[in-house]
Amino acid sequence: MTREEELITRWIDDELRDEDQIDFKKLYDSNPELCDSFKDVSGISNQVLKENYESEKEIPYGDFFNSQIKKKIFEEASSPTKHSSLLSDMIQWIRSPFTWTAAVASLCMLFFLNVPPESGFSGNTIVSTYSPDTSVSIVSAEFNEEANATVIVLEGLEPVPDETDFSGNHIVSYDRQGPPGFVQFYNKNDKLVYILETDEYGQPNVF
Amino acid sequence: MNFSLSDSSKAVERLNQNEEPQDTKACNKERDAELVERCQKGDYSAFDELITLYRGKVYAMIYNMIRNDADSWDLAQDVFIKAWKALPKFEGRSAFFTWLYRIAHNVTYDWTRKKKISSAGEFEDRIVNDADPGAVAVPKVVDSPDVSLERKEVKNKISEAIDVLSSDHKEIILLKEVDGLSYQEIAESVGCSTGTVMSRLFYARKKLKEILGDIRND
Amino acid sequence: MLRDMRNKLIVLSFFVFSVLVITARGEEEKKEEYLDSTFWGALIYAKNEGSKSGVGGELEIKLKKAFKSFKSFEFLGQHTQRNVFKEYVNWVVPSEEINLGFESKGRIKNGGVKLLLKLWRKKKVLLKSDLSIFPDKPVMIMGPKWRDGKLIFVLELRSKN
Repeated sequence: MTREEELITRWIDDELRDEDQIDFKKLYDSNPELCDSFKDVSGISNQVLKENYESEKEIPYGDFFNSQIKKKIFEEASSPTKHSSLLSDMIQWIRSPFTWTAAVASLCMLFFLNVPPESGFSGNTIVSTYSPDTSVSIVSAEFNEEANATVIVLEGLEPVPDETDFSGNHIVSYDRQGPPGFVQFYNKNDKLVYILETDEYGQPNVF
Repeated sequence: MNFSLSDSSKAVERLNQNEEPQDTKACNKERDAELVERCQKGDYSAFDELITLYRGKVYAMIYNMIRNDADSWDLAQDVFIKAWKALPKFEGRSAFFTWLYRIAHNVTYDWTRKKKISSAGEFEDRIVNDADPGAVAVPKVVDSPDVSLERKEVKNKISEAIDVLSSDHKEIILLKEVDGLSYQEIAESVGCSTGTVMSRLFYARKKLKEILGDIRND
Repeated sequence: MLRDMRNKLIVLSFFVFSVLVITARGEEEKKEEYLDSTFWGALIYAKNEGSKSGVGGELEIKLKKAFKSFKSFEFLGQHTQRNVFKEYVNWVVPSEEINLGFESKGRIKNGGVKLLLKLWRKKKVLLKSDLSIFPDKPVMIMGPKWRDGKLIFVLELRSKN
């Protein structure tokens, strides 16, 4: 975000710091309409939010709620003996000289045999394919010998709106010069078209 | 729904929806610190008090995101169970409530992912395009916000627009506008930087401004 | 007895050190291999009418064999990705509507790479696939309908040279 955007946001939320006061005054003096328009919207959305959402909500069957939590916590806590005996067994096992001998022998075997973990191309490229969306079906997912390519065909997908313009943003290059998790995509005129952020859940956020 | 209020329930203060005054916040912090210390020594009754104090807020926070009573009730329980298990590691660097909010945020997100509830993206552009000038009857002269609010259609549009915000943006704007948390508290609750908090707030407000502008211009 | 223990410790340390050295060398080699990986991705518009195709070459032949009902193919976007690192999400020709993300899971024999692919429609995952990609054997995914045809993602593994 730009410095201007930051100042406006801080001003709306009453979070201007001492070092922001002078800069904000200059901004406001140069463009009071912009600042006021954001504050107006914030005022409206604030009212709408407070009418539709609560900061605190009476929980149904409050005492029962508390007792259920207590019950679950104590139930989980009352089965620790299994875990602790397993742990002590493991510790004893680790200390055994036989374990150490076996471990060293395995290491030697690994060193000399050097078994490769993966196999090469065998005509079967797909390990697993699935769709988390129940409306989507995978018609085929296999290596197509004729095309010499792995081909996946899906059905039941919602069409992309016709008015979506891919040609105007014909991507030809990208870079990762920005902050981590951000990728910039450019068109043939070297114009920045999209910034894509991968959030912590792996979801794409396209700007 | 019928509720039977026990003594402990009656002890719960119902906070108004504006931001807490600083002295109340400070008192709460002291009270929470004392209760947490007792919990960490194994005193479950102290934890029961904390549950009673914060269950309303946790329940509201989850409900605001998933809009389902039964699931919110279950998830709120999970939050407190996880909090009890994690309490020994709580060092008091942040306020107890922001720490608890963080757990609620994670529990809600895990549940949402499993339920495969998807957001429709940042905003549905349809909302902007579908603003029918006839239905909204927007006046030609730009009204003050108070007058505009009286127009139910405008409020409905804003309400719809807020509902289709991505969960990241919606959560942050709710924590700011409804719960009155500071940037730092929001950042600690959702696990992002204050910069991200500000940029998401700005972006959401900018979109709302565009919608309001479109409605007024029609 | 102390001497005996010391000797045992020396032998054990020797083997552990050997394993560490081999592992480190292996990792270094793998790192270099990742740096050599180049992926080329494209988003293609496939139509079942029209004779003129914008794609051409070997790729068009493969597309026609893979998707026999389509007659013409047009590029909507394409780019090359160098330095594809393990466990890092990469994206093919993004848009606000549909995105193909892929993560490398490691090298395999015959110059192949294990991939985890995810096809997204806005914030929804439509497809998750664990597969292997080899040079000259692209991955082609037929996606949703757009206008009079369909969108197809193509991902190819190429050598850096």
